[in-house]
Amino acid sequence: MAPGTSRGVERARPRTMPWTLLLAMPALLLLVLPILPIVPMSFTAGHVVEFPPSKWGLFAYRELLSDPGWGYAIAFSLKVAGLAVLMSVVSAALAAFGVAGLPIRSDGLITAIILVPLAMPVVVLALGTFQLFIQIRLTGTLVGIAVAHAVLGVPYVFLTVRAALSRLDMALVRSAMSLGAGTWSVLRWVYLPALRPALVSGSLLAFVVSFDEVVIALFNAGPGAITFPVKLFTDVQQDLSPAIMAVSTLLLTAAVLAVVVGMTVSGARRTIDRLTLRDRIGGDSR
Amino acid sequence: MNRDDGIVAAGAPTQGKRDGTRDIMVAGLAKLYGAVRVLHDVSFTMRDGEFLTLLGPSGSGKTTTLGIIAGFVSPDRGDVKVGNRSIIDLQPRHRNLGIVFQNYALFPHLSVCANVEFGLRMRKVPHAERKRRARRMLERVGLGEFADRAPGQLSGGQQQRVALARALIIDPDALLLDEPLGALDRRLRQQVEIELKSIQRETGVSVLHVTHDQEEAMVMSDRLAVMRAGRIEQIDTPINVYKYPSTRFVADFLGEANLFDVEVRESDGRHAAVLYEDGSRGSVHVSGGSVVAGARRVVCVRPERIHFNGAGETAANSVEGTLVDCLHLGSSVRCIVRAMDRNVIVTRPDHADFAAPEPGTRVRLGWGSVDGQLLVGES
Repeated sequence: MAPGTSRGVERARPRTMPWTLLLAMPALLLLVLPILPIVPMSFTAGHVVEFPPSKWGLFAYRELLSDPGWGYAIAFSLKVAGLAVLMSVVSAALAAFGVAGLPIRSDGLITAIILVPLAMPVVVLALGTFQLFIQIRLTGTLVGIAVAHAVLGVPYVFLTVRAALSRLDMALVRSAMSLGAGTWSVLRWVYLPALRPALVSGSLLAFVVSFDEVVIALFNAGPGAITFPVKLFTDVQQDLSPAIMAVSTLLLTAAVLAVVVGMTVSGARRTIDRLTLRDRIGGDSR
Repeated sequence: MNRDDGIVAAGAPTQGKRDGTRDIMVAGLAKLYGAVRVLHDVSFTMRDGEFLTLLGPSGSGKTTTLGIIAGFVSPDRGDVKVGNRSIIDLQPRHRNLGIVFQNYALFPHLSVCANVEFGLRMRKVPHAERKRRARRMLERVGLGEFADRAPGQLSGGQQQRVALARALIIDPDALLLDEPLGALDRRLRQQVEIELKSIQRETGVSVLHVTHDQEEAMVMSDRLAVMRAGRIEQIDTPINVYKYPSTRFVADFLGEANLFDVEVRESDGRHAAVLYEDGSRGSVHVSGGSVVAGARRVVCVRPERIHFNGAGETAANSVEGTLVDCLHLGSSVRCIVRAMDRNVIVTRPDHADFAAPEPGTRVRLGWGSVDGQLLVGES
C-alpha cells in the first residue's frame, strides 16, 4: 500500500437525513412486523394457533421435540447445503480461474452461461432436474438435491471469486514464482490468502440459497429426503400446528444471533484496524 | 521434471568470485504482441557485478526485455544465458533471479520477516536457519526492528527495502528491478538511489534496472542502454552516453541537447569538419562510426558547453544569433538564443564575472571542437 493513503483515517460520512429515515421506517416495519407475532404465537399452551395466545405455555416446543421429523429435516437440509456449497465452490472457483485466463472476447460468453441460473425461473430448473433425476434415479436423494442447489450457488461464488481475482496483483504471483514457488505454492501462498474472503462470502451465499430453497427440494423430495423448508411447507398445508411457530421462532433467533455475532466480530476487527493504524503512524514519525 | 533442478543452493557465498559464470547474455530477442513488434533485436551482455540500466520511454520494450529475462514473457526469437547456460526454457522459479517490482508486491498476509523468508521456504531451508538468515538480511537493509510488522504498516521506502531483502536472500545470479523507485516521491527517491547503490556494492550482485527516469539511470548505473521502439539505440557508461550520444533520440532523451543540421566536409573518424546551415564552418567530435564527406548529419551540443564569445574571441564553432531571454535558476543562468531559425539553449554557471546580455542584442555563440558531437547513428 502506498504511504500516506487515507485508508482508515476518519472520513467524513454523509450525514443521515432524518426524513430519509422517516421514509424507510414504514418499509422496514412492513417487512419485519409480519414476522414478529410468530414469537408470541409459539408460546401457547393450547393446540390452536392464535394471536395473542389465550393461554401461555411451552406446548409447541414440547410437540416440536416429540416429532423427530423436524430434527431429521434440519439435519438433511444442513447436509444438502454443505454438499451444495462444496460442489459450487469447487466448480465456480475453477471456472473463475479459467475465465480469468481467457482472452477478453470469449470470457463474456462463458460468464453469461455461468450466470444463467440467476435469471432462470427456479421452477423451470426444478422441473428440468426432476425429469433428469428420474431417469438417473437421483430423485429423493441427498446428492440429487445438492447437485441442483449447487447449480443455483455457482453464480454467487463465481462472481465473488472473479471480483477478488481481478483485484489480485499479478506482481505477487510473479514475485512468488521468481522466488521458487511452483503451482501449488503459488496457490497456497498467494491465491488462497487473497481469495479467502471471497470464498467465505461466496460459500455463505451459496449456503443460504440452498438452505432456503423450496421448489427444487419439493420436486425432488422423497422418503428420507425432505429438507427443512419442504417439511415446513407441507406441514403448514396439512395442519397449522403450533410446532411450526416454535421452529420458526428458533430459526429467527438463530438468524438474529448470527447477524449480531457477525456485526460484533467485524466491529471488533475495525477497532483493531484503527489501533494498528495508529501504531503505524507512530512508527513513521519516529 | 525434478522439482528442485535449477534451484541453486541458496546463500552459497559466491561473492567476490568473478569468473563469468554469472554474466547474463541476452541475444537477439524479438517479440510480437499481436501486430505490434515490441522488440526487434535486443542483445547485450551484463557482466557479473554490473549495474546496468535499460532506459527508455514507455513502449520502448524495456519492461518486455526484463519480463523475458525473468521468464514471465516468452520471446518469439532469441536467447538468454547465465554464464554459458541457456535459461530461456526454464520456468521463472528455476531461474534464480531476484525481482523487485514497482509496487513492491509484498505478500500482504505475511509478516515482513516471513516475506523475506519466502524464497528460503520454497527451497525447503529449515525453519530456524531460515529465520536467522531472514533477520540478518533485514538487519542489512536496516529494518531489523520491523521483522514482525505487517508490510502494510511500513512506509513506501521501507517496503521497498523489504522487497529488496526478499529478492537478495536467495543469492540470485542477478537482481531485476522493474521501475522500483517509481512510486516514491522525489526526495525519498534520491535517498533510496544511494541506498540501493550501496547495497549493490556491498553484496556485489548484478543489477538489471528498468526505468524511464534519466536522472535515476545516470546516478546508479555502471552502464546504461537507451531503448527506443524495441531496439537498443546506445549502450555505454552514463557519462559516455551523455557526452557522445550516437543518435538524435539518445541526445534528446538523456539531458538537454542543441541539435544542428550540418553537412560533413571531411572526417578522419575522430573529428569532422562541418558546414552549418548559416554557412559557417566548424569542427566537431566523432565517435563510434565513420562518416563520408558530403553526408547530411546532426551535431549535438550540450547547453553547458556553449559560451558567449566576446569581441575578438574565436572558437572552433561559432554562430551568430539574437538573445531571446535569460532565466536565473539559482546556481546557473539559462539563456535562449535565436540562431539559424531555432532556439539554442545556453546554460552558464552564475559566476560574478558572467553578465547576461540584454534581450534583443546580437550575440556570438561558440563551442570547441570537443564540445560538439556528430551523431553517427542516423542521418
